[in-house]
Amino acid sequence: MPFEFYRSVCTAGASKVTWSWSLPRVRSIVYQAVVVAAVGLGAWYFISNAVENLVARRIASGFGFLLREAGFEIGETTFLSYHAGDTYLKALAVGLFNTLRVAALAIIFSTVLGVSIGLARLSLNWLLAKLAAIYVEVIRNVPLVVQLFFWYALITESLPAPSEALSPVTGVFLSNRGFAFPIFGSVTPLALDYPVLRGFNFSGGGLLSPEFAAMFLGLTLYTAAFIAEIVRGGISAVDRGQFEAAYSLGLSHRQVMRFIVLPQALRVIVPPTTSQYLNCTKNSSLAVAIGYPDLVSIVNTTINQTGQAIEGISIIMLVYLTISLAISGFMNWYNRRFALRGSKA
Amino acid sequence: MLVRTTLWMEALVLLLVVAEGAHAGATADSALKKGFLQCGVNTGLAGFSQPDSNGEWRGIDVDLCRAVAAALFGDARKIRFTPLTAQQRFTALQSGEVDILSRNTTWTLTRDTSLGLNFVGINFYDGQGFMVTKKRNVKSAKQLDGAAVCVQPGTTTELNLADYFRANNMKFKPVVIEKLEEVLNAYFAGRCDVYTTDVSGLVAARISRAANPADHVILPEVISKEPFGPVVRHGDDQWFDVVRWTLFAMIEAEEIAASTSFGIVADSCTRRRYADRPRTF
Repeated sequence: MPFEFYRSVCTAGASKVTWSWSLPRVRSIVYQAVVVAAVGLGAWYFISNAVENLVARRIASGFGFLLREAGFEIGETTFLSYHAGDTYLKALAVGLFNTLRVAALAIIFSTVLGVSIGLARLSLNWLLAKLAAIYVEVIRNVPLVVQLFFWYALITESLPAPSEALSPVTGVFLSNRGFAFPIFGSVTPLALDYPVLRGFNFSGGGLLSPEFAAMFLGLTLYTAAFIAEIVRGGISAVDRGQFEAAYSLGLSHRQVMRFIVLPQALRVIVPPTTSQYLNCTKNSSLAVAIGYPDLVSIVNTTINQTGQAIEGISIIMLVYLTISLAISGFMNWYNRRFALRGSKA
Repeated sequence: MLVRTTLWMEALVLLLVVAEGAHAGATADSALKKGFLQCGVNTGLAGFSQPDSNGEWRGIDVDLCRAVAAALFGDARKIRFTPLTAQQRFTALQSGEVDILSRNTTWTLTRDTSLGLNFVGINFYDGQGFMVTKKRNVKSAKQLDGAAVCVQPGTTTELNLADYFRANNMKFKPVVIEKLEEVLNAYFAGRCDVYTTDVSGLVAARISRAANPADHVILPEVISKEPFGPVVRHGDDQWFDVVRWTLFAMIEAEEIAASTSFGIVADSCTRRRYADRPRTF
């Protein structure tokens, strides 16, 4: 009972000044409540306006269309088998896998290429440094979609037709339909399945289409140019004293890079590189310009056939948000590894 | 006489618009207030909507929009054109970016019902066909098993193509490119064996883009019905009436032009012929 007595005395005394406007805490609560209410009101207005217009124009809404038959074919599928009688949901899954395939491969190869070019630009060899600089300046300053058109035109116009395909090694064919190569059989495992020219095109074996090749080349070279600059900046950020101390210890240039400079440089390199990976993933949506069936391209077709633009765009947004959060989550974990090591050293 | 008759019919349509002024539709109102008609057309399809070498839009779809502008303002030049790809066209109309879509759009059940659009009528009857290079030696569409087919996305062409190949137990690889210029580049570069779209589009592509038109053959099979017509939004009956009767006026005018230009002497004989026509207004 004494405790309650003291508590009530304390609160009784304080209640006289609890809600005064002069208190910063009170002001901040009121301002934040007003902002939340304004945002909520804005969101409610937009949503109710959209719903009202959809109903007035008699446009269908809801996600039920995902279970309807798609009716269109898709040029290439990754791991999934798809035909025109499947649902829209399966078509979207095919698009998603296509996006992930080209984005993942572009990220990996552009990292390798970007690090090499970044290091080349810092090289003591004048020619190598200048070539790397020219590469970075040219590729960074031309819009990506123009580069994609360039690669696609180059591949389709300069390679021959399937009947005159180039064949450097038996079983491998290079034509304007793509790069056909033997794979371990889908029909007979452990035996190589060779591509054979039958009628119009090659059947059997694996095929890398010109659309995929152009996407992959364009994305890789473009992202590599940005990563090269980030790597160069990261290495330049390491204090000059570290280099001199390492050389004075008798370490070779390669050892200096690997054990002293890069671990410190990575702390500066990793956060901007995360942004470049996210950019690369989102840039893969330019595939619609050259005919690669990625997620955005398939959702666009779906929107056009069903008329449900809002549902389609929100699917695209949700998927890209998920992919981007996954990439940045992984990169943040990777970054923390370096931060911890650095502080312990 | 043709011009006078056409203008007279347009004036009648205008009268309809003015007479209904009591509850004027939203689209007509906003167009009159803006002072011009916003018309959605193709990015460049010869014969339907294509800018000529002076930048003037020419084609049958363009003519229809000019007629609607003439009906609204009495001046066919009070018009702005928005080039739209197949993927953008319905969203542009639904959202109000254009007042009317006159873009060789096929009239289908889905488009007429679940997209919130109304098809006003038909100004061109077409069908879907296939074009291949002559040296392929293909005589019929049923020999196209395994071909790579260039097609634009978001069209009835894409769906009909899949249905036709499924129905005939054939396989194909679609090369799906959005822009018309790019898809034609891909076909003429040899990226795909076959180009498929409406037969009118095949003819237009062959005339305007082929290095040697005789090298390309349009196969005899026409695999679908593609009736083209102008499209407006749901919920504006007055605007629907304006566009529909403009279309009918143009059809009437063309019939009269055809009958006078086929050597029938323009005298009391013709006037009597005209007077005998059933009244449509």
